[in-house]
Amino acid sequence: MKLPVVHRCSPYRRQGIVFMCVSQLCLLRWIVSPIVFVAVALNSCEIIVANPTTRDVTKPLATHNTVAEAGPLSLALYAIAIDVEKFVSESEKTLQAKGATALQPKLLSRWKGKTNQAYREAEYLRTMGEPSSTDLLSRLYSTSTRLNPLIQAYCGTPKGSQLSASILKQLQKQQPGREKEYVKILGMAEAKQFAEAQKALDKIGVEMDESIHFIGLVERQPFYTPYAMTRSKIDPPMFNIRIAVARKAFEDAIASNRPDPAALTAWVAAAANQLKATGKATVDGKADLSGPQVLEALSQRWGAGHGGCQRVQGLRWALRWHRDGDSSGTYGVGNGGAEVDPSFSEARAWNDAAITAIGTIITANAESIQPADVPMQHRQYLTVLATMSELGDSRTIQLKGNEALASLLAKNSVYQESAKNYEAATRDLMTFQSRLANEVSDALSKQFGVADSVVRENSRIQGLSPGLYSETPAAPILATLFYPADQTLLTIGPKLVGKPARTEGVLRISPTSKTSAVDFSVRTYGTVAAVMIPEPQLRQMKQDLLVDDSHPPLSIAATKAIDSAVMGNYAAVGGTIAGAQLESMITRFISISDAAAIIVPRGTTIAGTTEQTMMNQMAVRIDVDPIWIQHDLGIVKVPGK
Amino acid sequence: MLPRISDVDDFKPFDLPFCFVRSHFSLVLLIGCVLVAGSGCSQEKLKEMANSVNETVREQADNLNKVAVDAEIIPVSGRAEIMLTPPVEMKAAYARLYVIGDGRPGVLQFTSYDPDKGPNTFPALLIRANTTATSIAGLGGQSLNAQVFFQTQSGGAILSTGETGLVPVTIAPADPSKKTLDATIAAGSLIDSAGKPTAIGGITIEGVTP
Repeated sequence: MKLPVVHRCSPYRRQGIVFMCVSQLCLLRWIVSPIVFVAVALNSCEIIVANPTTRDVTKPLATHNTVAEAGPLSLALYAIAIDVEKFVSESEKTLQAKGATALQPKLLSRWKGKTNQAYREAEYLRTMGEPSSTDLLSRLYSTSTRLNPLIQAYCGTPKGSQLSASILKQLQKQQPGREKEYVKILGMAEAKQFAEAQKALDKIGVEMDESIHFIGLVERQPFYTPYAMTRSKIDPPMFNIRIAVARKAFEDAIASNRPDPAALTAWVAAAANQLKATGKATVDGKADLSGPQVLEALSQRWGAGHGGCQRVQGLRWALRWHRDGDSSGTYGVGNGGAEVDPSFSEARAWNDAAITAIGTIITANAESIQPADVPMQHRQYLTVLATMSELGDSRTIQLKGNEALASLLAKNSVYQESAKNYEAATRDLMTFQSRLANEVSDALSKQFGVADSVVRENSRIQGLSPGLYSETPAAPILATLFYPADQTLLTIGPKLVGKPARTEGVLRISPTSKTSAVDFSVRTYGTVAAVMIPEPQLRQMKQDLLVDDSHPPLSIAATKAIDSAVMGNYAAVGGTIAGAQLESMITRFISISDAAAIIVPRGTTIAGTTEQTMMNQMAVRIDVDPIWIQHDLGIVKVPGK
Repeated sequence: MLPRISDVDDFKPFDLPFCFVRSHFSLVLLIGCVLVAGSGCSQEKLKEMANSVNETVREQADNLNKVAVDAEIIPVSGRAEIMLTPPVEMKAAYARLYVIGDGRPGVLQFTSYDPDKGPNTFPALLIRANTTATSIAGLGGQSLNAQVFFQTQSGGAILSTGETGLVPVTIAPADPSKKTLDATIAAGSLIDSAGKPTAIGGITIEGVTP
């Protein structure tokens, strides 16, 4: 059986009740101690689980709840969709096994009304910018369509004929009252009471759907036509009202999430003035912070702003649907066409301000530092800078960090010489070890394809078989919800599980976390079971880098190498796909926490597309069972693999 | 300061810089004597003698030219050779001792590339050994355990002593008259990134010291 393709128009082109209450986007934006930060990160991962997975394809697509009512509405609609699918499947089996007389007309009638009302409400959900609506519309359309032959089959039985006749009579009897209702509803519209009008009309719609499908197409016209004409007066203005409410929620959320580089620069200047004068600063209500502690506070602000940039990107995608509509342009309320997405330049500007702040903080600190304090503070700075360089543009951060640290080192010539010689004594070794690791990794790539390519090649539509990518590899199309999410994952899940794949940019979420996050690439990201570099290799690395318990690394690069090995952060991990999860791009990024935003390197955003609506754009999260890990300085096979 | 190679190429007989005149004063004096004494000789004889002297001077100039070119390459830049099949010669080499001085070992590095610029010119050779020596002079005659990395071209395969492998590097006795620290690694093997060994007939290096 061919599965239903997600359609673009409702059967009746209707919209419904209004949600007047709008709440602000509820997002985790914490600038807190590292321990709380970690807790948020873990929590965010649990939130992500609210999507269909290969373990449980029935889970609904998550909602971002920018309009607060969206979450409960989406869950309620999924519950209906699941129940009606179950009923329809059972009824189809009954029809095949026992014939049409065994069908239950009351339930057929009730579910038809419920399904079509759920469909209308899924359209309301869509105006809230919720991509789960795409999945729901697809599923509800499918079941509504599958109900029709069941009803028709029953109507072909003697009892069904009698029921049809009785329903026709009932409709004729109800019609005068309905006509008055329509007049009343149109009066509400005149009075701009569109929400009340739509609510009243939806009630009639349910009753209408419960009955008219039991009579012929021609016979139903006298009853359906006035209903449809009334809807045409209510739904378009109601759609615009709902869009305006949602749009305000999106714009408010963008305003509260978009980071302000000028504010960051002012914050840094205030801290730097204090450091310059006394070597200490009061920042964010915390007194007597040292220079490295101020730098740590900067890193957290940087991360929060970076998370904000990702959320803003997702919000803009949803807002763009409000403006452009879907690819048919049906729901567009503004001008379509390509646009320059400002999210990337905003993320870049935020990043530039943060990188500049590194120099501002360290050079200010250098002005007041005592020579005896240089070694300890230098090492503390190295730790913060090493972490920063793992999260963003490593080369630039190390370059700017080293430039700034030079002013600090100049205050202690003996230590300066030590640090300079340490850097020279370890740099070339790391360069060669890194090149060797890349050489091995490149060789392994023949066996372990890049994760996004592996997902794409195993998620193509094949004939009647659902998928996320078009059948033609050349088509410029990204992961798209062409079919219901559960059906899609049921088909592609078994193809993906067990496949070898290579993931890049692997960051462990916390020192105690059992999972690491994998950088988002094109339309794929993931998690990897945390695996540590075996002790002998770690010991050798420390020996190579002249490090022991009393001799810490004295360069950013060496600190990053050792800290990342101890933490379990890697350049790449190869392994087999253990599971997959389907997510909407819009929801993924609007809902991303600051902690989870490590899946996108700081200073960047993930590209959307202007070739198709973002509303049905999907991402795949894969869980990878690691076989080998590529640290900056070497490749290690996971023991036992 | 030695003339630049391009300057040397432009040398002509009798058109020599002052340093040549000073260092070859006896030859110039001979030319003068011949010219003066020859005033009583026949024109042919005088011409023959002049040509002969001219030839001698040209030969001297050519020799100086050669010395100057050699001096430009060998004493200033050092050299290294890794005995692969065929051998790979590197016409520059450096020796650096990095003393950290906080209780951890220092590192002696021989490189075929400018150590200030990193391994970005190829072939690139790095020989790296931990040491407790605090001066280059103190390293003469020592044998240290070294890591070796060798890459013939940018993006090319790397031969190395592996993750934990070390090979002895024998450092020649210090020679105060030379500006290089010389060392050798005996015949053995290096491994590629897949762990496959490649035999080498040894490595010699004359690394210019700072």
